[in-house]
Amino acid sequence: MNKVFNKFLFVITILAFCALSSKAEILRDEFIDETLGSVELTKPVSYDKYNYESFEGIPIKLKINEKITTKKDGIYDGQMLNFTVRTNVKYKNQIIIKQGTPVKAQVSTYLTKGMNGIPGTIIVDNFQIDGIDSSKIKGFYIKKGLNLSLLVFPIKWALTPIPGVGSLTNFILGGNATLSDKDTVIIYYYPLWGKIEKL
Amino acid sequence: MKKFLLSFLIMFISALGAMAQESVSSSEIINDIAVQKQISDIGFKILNSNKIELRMIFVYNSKNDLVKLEPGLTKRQIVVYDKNLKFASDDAEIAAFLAREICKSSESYHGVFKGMLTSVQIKCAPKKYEIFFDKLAVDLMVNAGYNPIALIIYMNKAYPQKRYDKIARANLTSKRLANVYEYIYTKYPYFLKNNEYLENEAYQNFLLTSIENRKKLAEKIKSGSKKAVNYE
Repeated sequence: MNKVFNKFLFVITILAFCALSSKAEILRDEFIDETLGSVELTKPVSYDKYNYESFEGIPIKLKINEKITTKKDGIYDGQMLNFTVRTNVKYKNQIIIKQGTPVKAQVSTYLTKGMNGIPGTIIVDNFQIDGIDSSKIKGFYIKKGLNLSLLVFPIKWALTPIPGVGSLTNFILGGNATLSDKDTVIIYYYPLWGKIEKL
Repeated sequence: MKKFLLSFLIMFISALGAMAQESVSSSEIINDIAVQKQISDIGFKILNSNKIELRMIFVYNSKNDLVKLEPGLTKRQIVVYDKNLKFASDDAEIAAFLAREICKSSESYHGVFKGMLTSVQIKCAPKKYEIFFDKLAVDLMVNAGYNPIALIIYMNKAYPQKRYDKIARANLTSKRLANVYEYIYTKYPYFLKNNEYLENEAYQNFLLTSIENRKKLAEKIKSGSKKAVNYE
């Protein structure tokens, strides 16, 4: 009986060893383990419950504190931006956001200017205002540079019958997108939007 | 009598054939309806969660068209073919495909001539917009409650790797994957730290094939540089 039990133990040990060694074959993302291993992170909020009964949007006018541009090294993904509220924001005759209130936001992503007159693009999102639920602020703000494609494409198509000449218009670049304190960024706050329990 | 029996037999066989064909086609239709519902649900969820006030529809097409048209840009009709769907193993991976196409269709609404010029730009310079749409797709997925790493999984399974991309209409898939990975690391590191897909074979393969690109990102993070990394 002891011999049978010993054999059983031996088989179990071998199996456990095999299972462990097969588990060890999984590649770990060491870069993530090193850089984020000790960092406390919370799950990003998703907006998969929504209520569109009210479409009453209150405009919030903002100006950026520091200029950003799609020129080389003038911007990067995830860059934190600081804005200031230009004018008082009222809802039901009450001021809900005072002029001068700081607003934080983030560069979602950007597109550099390109050939054929394609303009640079800056997309800003994740607007955060103290005392205001971010899920009630409408998504993205988009700023584009000078779009020269309207000029480039007709010239390109007109010149296409002459071999090789139409392609020269490829080298016409669009304008960079710039967001400076001269621009008024308008975002919309929907007080009756946001997460609801009953759907 | 023989003639009567023979003709009866022929009629019986042809009736059986027709019945079999009908049952196959109706089962195909039932399958198509189920897939169509799944695609529409995921697509509209992404639109609603991101508060995208632009009309677009999602169409499942089991047959692949011979001519590659872009109804997503012209009619805002996002078509999902079997060749796209067969790589998606869960809702998040379908969402990854749809989110990318939604970005493209949304962009085609903006600009002069009701977005016609923008559509021409996207069509003329697909390489320019490719990584831009990949990154925006990540945002849409997160807002809709999907894990953005599914985009890496889907791309790693579905898009091949060309030799060069210097003079090409598309970026190397490895470069796109590295950019998506960096974008998730920058904006949504939670998903990489608590990685549900770590043991997924496609993700394991991504880890195996992206060692050099991830080293470049590690160097960027260590140095504190904000410059764009030149991935390969």
